[in-house]
Order: sequence, then C-alpha cells, then structure tokens
Amino acid sequence: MLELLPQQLVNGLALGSSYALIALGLTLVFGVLQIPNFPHGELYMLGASFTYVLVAYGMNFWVAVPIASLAVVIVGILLDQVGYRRIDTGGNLSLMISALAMSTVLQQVATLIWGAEPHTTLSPLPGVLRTAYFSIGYYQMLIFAATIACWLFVWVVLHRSRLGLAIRAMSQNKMAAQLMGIDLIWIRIATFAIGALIGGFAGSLLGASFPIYPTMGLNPVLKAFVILVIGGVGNLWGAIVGGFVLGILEILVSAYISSQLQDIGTFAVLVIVLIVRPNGLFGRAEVLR
Amino acid sequence: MKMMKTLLTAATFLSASAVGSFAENLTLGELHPVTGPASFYGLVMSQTLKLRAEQTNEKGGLDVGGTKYTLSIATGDDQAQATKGVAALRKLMTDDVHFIFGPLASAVAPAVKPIIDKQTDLLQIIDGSIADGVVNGKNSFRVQASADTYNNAVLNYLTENKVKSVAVMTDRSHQGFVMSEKRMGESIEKAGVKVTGLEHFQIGDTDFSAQLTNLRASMPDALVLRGYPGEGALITKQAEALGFKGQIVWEMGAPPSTVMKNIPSAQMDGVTNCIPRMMADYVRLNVPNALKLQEEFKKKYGEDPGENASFSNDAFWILTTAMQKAGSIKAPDVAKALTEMKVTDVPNLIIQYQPYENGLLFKDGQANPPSACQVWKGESWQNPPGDKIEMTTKN
Amino acid sequence: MKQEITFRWVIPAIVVLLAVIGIPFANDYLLYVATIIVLMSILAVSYDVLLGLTGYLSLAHGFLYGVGAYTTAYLTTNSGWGYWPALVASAVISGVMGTVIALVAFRTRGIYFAVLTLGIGLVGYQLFLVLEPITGGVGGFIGIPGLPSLPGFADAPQRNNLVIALLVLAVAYGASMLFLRSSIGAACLAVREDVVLAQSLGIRIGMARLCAFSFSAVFAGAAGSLFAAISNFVGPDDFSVMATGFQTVVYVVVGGMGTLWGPVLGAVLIVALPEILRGASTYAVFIYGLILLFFILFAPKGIAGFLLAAAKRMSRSGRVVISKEAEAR
Repeated sequence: MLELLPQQLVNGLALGSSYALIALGLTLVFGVLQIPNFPHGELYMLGASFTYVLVAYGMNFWVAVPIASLAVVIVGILLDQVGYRRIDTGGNLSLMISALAMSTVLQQVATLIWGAEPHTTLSPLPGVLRTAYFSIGYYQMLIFAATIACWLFVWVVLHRSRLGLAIRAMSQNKMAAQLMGIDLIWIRIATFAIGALIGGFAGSLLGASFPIYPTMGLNPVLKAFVILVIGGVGNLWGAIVGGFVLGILEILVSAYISSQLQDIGTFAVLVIVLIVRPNGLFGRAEVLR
Repeated sequence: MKMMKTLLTAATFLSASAVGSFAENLTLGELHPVTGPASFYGLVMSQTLKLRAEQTNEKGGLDVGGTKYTLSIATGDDQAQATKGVAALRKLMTDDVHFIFGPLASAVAPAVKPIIDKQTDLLQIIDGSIADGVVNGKNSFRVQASADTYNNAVLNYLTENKVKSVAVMTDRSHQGFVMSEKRMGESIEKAGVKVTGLEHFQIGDTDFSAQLTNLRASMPDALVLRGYPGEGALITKQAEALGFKGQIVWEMGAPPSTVMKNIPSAQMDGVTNCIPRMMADYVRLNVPNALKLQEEFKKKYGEDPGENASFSNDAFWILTTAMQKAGSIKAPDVAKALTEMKVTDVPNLIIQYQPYENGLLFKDGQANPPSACQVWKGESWQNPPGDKIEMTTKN
Repeated sequence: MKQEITFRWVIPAIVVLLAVIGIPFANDYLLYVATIIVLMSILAVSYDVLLGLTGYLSLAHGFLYGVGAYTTAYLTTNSGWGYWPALVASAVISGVMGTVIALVAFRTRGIYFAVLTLGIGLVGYQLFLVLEPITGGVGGFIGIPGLPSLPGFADAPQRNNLVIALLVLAVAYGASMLFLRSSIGAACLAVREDVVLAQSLGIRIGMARLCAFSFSAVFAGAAGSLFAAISNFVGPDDFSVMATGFQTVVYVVVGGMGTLWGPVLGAVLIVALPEILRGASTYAVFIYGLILLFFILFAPKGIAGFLLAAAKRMSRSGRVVISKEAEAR
C-alpha cells in the first residue's frame, strides 16, 4: 500500500486546497468581526449556481467566474446589513441563530429557483497530468494555484493598503479604531465583501468539479470552522495550512484505515489536537497580525 | 403554547372540513419529501399522484361499488426526516386518511412502520424506499423493488459478462444499499466472482480519490457504484482521472437528464447501469402507458417525469383497482383485494411486474419489478442489443 | 428581576393548565406534536443550565440525546429491562458520557470549546452509524417497546406518552430551578460573567461548570430515552450535529438564555412552526427561515427578553417601578 502514498498525498493536497479556499473567507470575517458566518457555505453555493447559469446561457467560463463572484459580493454585503448589523451588540449567539436562519433562507431560495437536482458546470480545463508516481487533473492544479493566489490577494489587501490597515485596526480594537477616525461601517462592508468574494470565487471554480445543489455548502462550512480552529482564529495562513492538514488527514484515514471511518478518524484527530493544544495547532494567533 | 394550539386546531379543523364533509369525497394520503434536499425525487411522485387523481375526477370520479368518489391527494411532507414523517402520518390519520402512498425516504419508512403495523384501518403502498423489513404484507405493500432486486441486477450482469473480479463502493448513508451490502458481497463471491474491495462514501462527499486509488491498485475488472447519480458521476470522473480502466457499473436510479448535468456524455460512454427498470426505460421501450404518462406529465408540469413517477403511477392504479375489486373503501377489504390481485388485473401499469405464482402481483406484500442493465451511449442509457421487455400487464 | 420570578411560575402554570384542558380532547396528531415539544423542552431547559448559566456553547448534546435513546433501545429490546430502570440507566450513562466529554472539553474556551464539542458530536454521530451490532447502523434500531401505561391511560397510548413526558419535564424544570438557586448555580453565573474574577474570589469554577455540563447531559439522556420508547424506532439522523445538536441551541437562544422558562417557549415555537407551516407546502421551510430570522432580529434576547421588556413597560405605565435588574438580565 505504501507505493500508493505519493498518489494519496497528491489526493490530499487537492482535497485540502478546496477546503482551504472555502475556509479563507470564513476566517477573515470571523477574525475581524467575530461573526460565525454560516451562510458562507451558501455564498459558496451561490457562486457555483450563478456560474452554472451563466455558462448554461452560453457565456465563457472564465468570463462567468468574475461576474458570478461579484454578484455574490452583493449578496454577502446584504447578509451583513440585513442579518448581522442590527444585532451586533446582542452577543455571539443571536448572531449565530441569525446566521443559521439566513443559511436556511438562502438554501430554500436556491431550491425554489433551481430545484434540488445536482448539476455540475462543464469543466473548462479537462485533462490529467500523469507521472510515474501520481496523476492529477489540470483543473485540480488550477484550484491549488487559485487557493494560494487568494491568500496572497488577502494578504496584500490587509498589509499593503490603507483599507487593510483599517481592517486590522478594527479587528484589534474597535473602540480605538473608531477614535482614530476609521469609519467602521465601511470597514465592515469591505470585510464582508472580501469574504464573500473569496467564497463566491471558491464556489464558482469548484462548481466545475463538484455537484451543485442548494445544501452543497453545509459540509464545507462545518469543515471550514474546524479548519478555522486548527489554524487559529483569524490566522489566514493558518486557514491555508489547516485546510491542507485536514485534506491530507481525511485521505490518509480513508486510504489506510477505512473509508467507513473517514469522519471518525478525522474528527477524532481534531479533538485530540484541541485537547493537546487548546488554542489550535498554531496557537491563538493575534488576530490578523 | 396557547397560540400554537389554537393555530394547530384551526389548521386541522380547516383541512378536515375541506375534505371530510361530503360523503363522496375520498382522500388518499402521501408521504413524500416535497421540501428539502430529497424534494428532487419526492416532488415528481407527488405530482404524478395529483395528476392521476385529477384525471380520475375529470372522468366523473372513482366508481367503487356503485358510489362515485371524488379523489383528493393529501400531501404529508416528510422532508425525508423520521420525526417529520411520523408527524405527517399522524396528521394524515387525524384527517381521516386511511390510504398512504410512500414514503420515499428510507429514513422515514422504518420510523412510520410501528404506527402502520398497529393500525388495522390504514393501508400503505410504498413507492420509494427500498429499505429492508418495512413491508408486512398485511397492511403495507411495496411496488418499488426490494434491495435484493437491485443487487441481483448487478450480479446477473457480472456473471453474464464473465467478470472475474469486482470492487464495490457503497453510499453508506443509503439504508437499502448498506443493509444489503453483506448479502450482496456473499452472493457475488458465491457466483465465483472475486470481490477485491468494499469501500464506502457518503452522499455529499466530493472526494473519492483515496478509495479509488486503493481500488485501482487491486485491479478489478469492474467497479460497482451504489448510491445517487450526483456522486455516481463524480466518482466515474475521478476514477477515470486516476487511471481506472475497467468496466464501471452503476446501481442507482439515474435519469439521463441528471447524468447529463453532471458529467460530459463522452466520459459516460460504456458505463452500465443495472437496476429495476424505471420510467425512462419504459419510455424508451415504447411501453404505451409510459408514453402516455410522459406526455400527460409534460403537458401539465412542463417537464419530463422523473424515474420514480412510474412507481407512484402504478401505486395509484393498483390501489384504486383494489378498491373497485373490493367494492369498498375500508382499508382491510382493500388490503385483502391487494393480496389476491393479479398483475393482469390492473389497467395503466407502466412497470411490467413479474407475476408470482398464480399470476399474483404481491408476495408477502412485495411486488416484483423486473430489472435490466443499460449501457450509456451518446446522450442517454441505451438498451443493449436484443433487449426486449416481456409485457406482463394490460397496455 | 421581579417580573422574571413571576414568569418562572406563570409559564409552568400555563403549561399545566393547557395540559389539563387540552389532553382529554386533543387528537393523536396534536398529542404527538405536543409530545415532541415536551421532549425538546426537556433538552432545552437542561441545556440552558449549561449555556445560559456558564456561557459555554456545546454542540455535543445531539450525541448525548442519542446516547440516551440508544441505551434505552438496547436495554428494553435486547436485554429485557423494564422501561423505568432503562430510563434511569440512560440518564446515568448519558451523564457519565457528558462528564467525560466535559473533562476533556473544558480545557478550551469560546469558539475552541464550540468546535471541540462539534467534533465530539460528529464523531458520536458516526459511531451510531458504525457500531451496527448495537445501534442497527444506518438502518436504525427497530422494535423498541413503548412506554408503560400510567394508571387510567391504558387505552390512550398517545395521551400516556404526553403525560409521562410532561412529568419528566416537570422534574427537569424543578431540578434546573434548584440548580440555578444553589451555590453551584451562583458559581456558574460568576463563570459566565468573569472567569478570572470568579477564580480570584475563590469560586471553584472547574467544579461548577462540570456540574452544569453533567446536569444537562443527564436530562439530554432522559429525553432521548423517552424519544426511543415513544417512537418505537430510532435512526441515527435525529442525533446529528446539524439536527438536534444545533436545534437545541436555537431553542435556548430564541426562547431567551438563562431564564429556564424562555427555552421552553423557544422549543414550543421552533417545533410547532414547521407543523403550522405544513399548509405552505414547498414554501414551508423558506417561510420558517424567514420567521426565524425576523424573530432573532427583532427580539435578539429571545422570547423571554421580549416578554420581560413588555411586562416592564406595562408595570411602569401602571405605577412607577424602576427595575434595573430586569434590564440587566
């Protein structure tokens, strides 16, 4: 079985990059605003659905991706303005219920419009790279690259722009940031916009690999929360590494223990990690530093 | 609490008065998921039943023992969840419904079973779930095939095509497939086919590469996939990407339209699907009743009926025919008529049930739909050359 | 504070009154829905002791509910136990399991605690699927004997179920009230407000929050036990994190955290709403989501917070009463 290890590790990296891509936006929003944004899974679903519809109407896939992602940004900002802003002082749990309710609403809207039948966008980049040790789809390599690109994009925004400075200031100390004359409302909107952009982009790309249906975001978002914790809250690089760790872990459990015990093995490791390191694998990262 | 009780009572009262106040009304209940993720399958079944009831009413109603009954279908939405299903069934029973079509979901079927077993004035015809042990043959019957019929279709294929070794991947959230997995593996081995691997996945999974990498290394001639078409298509794609060269055999209800939405047709070429024959099959084989439902369904709802429409359609005709034969709308009388019913007794059947001894439709409550394998070619499943359907029903 | 104490007695009184008036007349469907509401109330009230008092968000309670259900299923079906001993055993086993989970989970705080218990809930749910010889796996556990009849309810099993569930709820509610007023309850509140301060005052916070977790686990197990006997069947789906795990949190937050009576109202609303919406057919879940959203937006402190504010306004308009405490809670 060990001769299969290179292939299994490649499998794990491919799976992990999809996890990391979804977790990135969630970590950003949670890190800055402490909002458990469950509908991030639905933003992912909408990115996929919009792209599918546009491609079905004959649009080129690479043109459809940015349009769909931008459309998701609008939905993301709306989510915040409708569902979170009003009760921001009501405590994390009201925010969580609001998040769950919005998830349900978005899933149902999608069901009413597109039905619950699974469908997949036609892959724009078929073909497989085959080597002596492993094979990997070109499109999976593209997703890997997209994940790293998204992380770089967020890093540049946060660390090389005035907006990023303001976002980081807000995540560290709301009050102080306000006193420094930072307009919190716009920072909020910007944070949600970036989170939604990555979520929509993830869905837009992954919808050409995975089946699209209204509840497709449920599992990924649960896993994204796990990754968020493994990687450390608000630690973007941690989200990337955490995604890969989870992906490889799942593959190895499934390959070398049992595919029936995939979830048990994976989550048991998570539990053990948290018992040994109560603040996540990479420690409690100072938010977004 | 108070508000809810008032509202609930009002709701019950309204629905009861809407259907129960005229003697010639007869309400048939259904347990299908019309909301939630499984609604893709459940909605079609509900629509088929409503279409049939409407048509019967347009023709003056259902004639049972000289009385004309106007039919209505009361939908119990179970959302494919056990507790919701039990509540839906209880509500239907409270609304004086004595006949139930469904359920579809194998999570719901065993949950409602204890209630149905205890209720003598209730009759159930299962048109969806293939779970084990949910049919009692007294007041619950099933027109959908049993899990064994599904598995035997695959087994026949393997032996007929002299397949030497096979790997099996099962959706471990699919009750019917999981509960019959061991039996199936044993009968495959018994038939002289080597099982090189049994792997699992779950509906909603997006990555099967770990399992497929292992299975590929065991070099089986064929790979059997048991689950739903969304995952089926994805596994087929990933198997190809990982270099699996053997025959891929599906064991799942997979309407061509759903398949086409998830995998380029060229990649499907040669994939075989072995299951009981369903709607699209009978349409392709030009069975008149299937063509008729196809046309009527399309006219009313603007789309093709899904695979399960055939089961709901047949359940409707089997039940109403049994009522007419019994000359009664009392559940025990109708149940008795069902146990004595012959395949040739029922008009408008789409599925060409294999009759049991003496031409009977049910044995211990289970009907016997025939199964077959189809091969994907071009944009749809095709019957292998020489495939013919033995017509066992009036058409 | 004053209003809140009133509500603590008024709400149970209304429940009892409704039960006495309603049970003889209700049909089987209403009785079933009411029974499920009561089961969920048992979960919600005891869970409030954990979430409302200590502020720790556990997502493992769907699993603990399942432990109770499967324990009863196994003992009454395969081992021939009577129901009442099985109920006690289920509560105890679930309580022990909860204590073990708590000992592990309390090493963490905040979101780490939530995700750790989420992981435990997910593993637990998978165990129900995998441990087929005990649980029946994905096919579920069939043929579980029903609840024993109370005197006078032999011919009305549905009424019998509801009455027994109500009795267990009464026990859960009473025990929760006692817990709240005990010194451990006070310590829990201190944990919620300020762990460091509580520690420096010499409050044994570890013991207090452990007790709260175990307490809620015991009643989650009892509710699960009732569910198994009432349904005669249990399948794993009811015990997934996304099902009961999150639902329990919704009951408590929508009802109003830390009030005990609020979560009961939350369970009533959240369980009854989908039933009321059955008429809306394919729009039912959509409307449910919208109502839940509007509700939490306009009453972020839950039904309890809303009622308390209303009561305060009323009493203020009557005579001038300034109740700062009610505001604080």
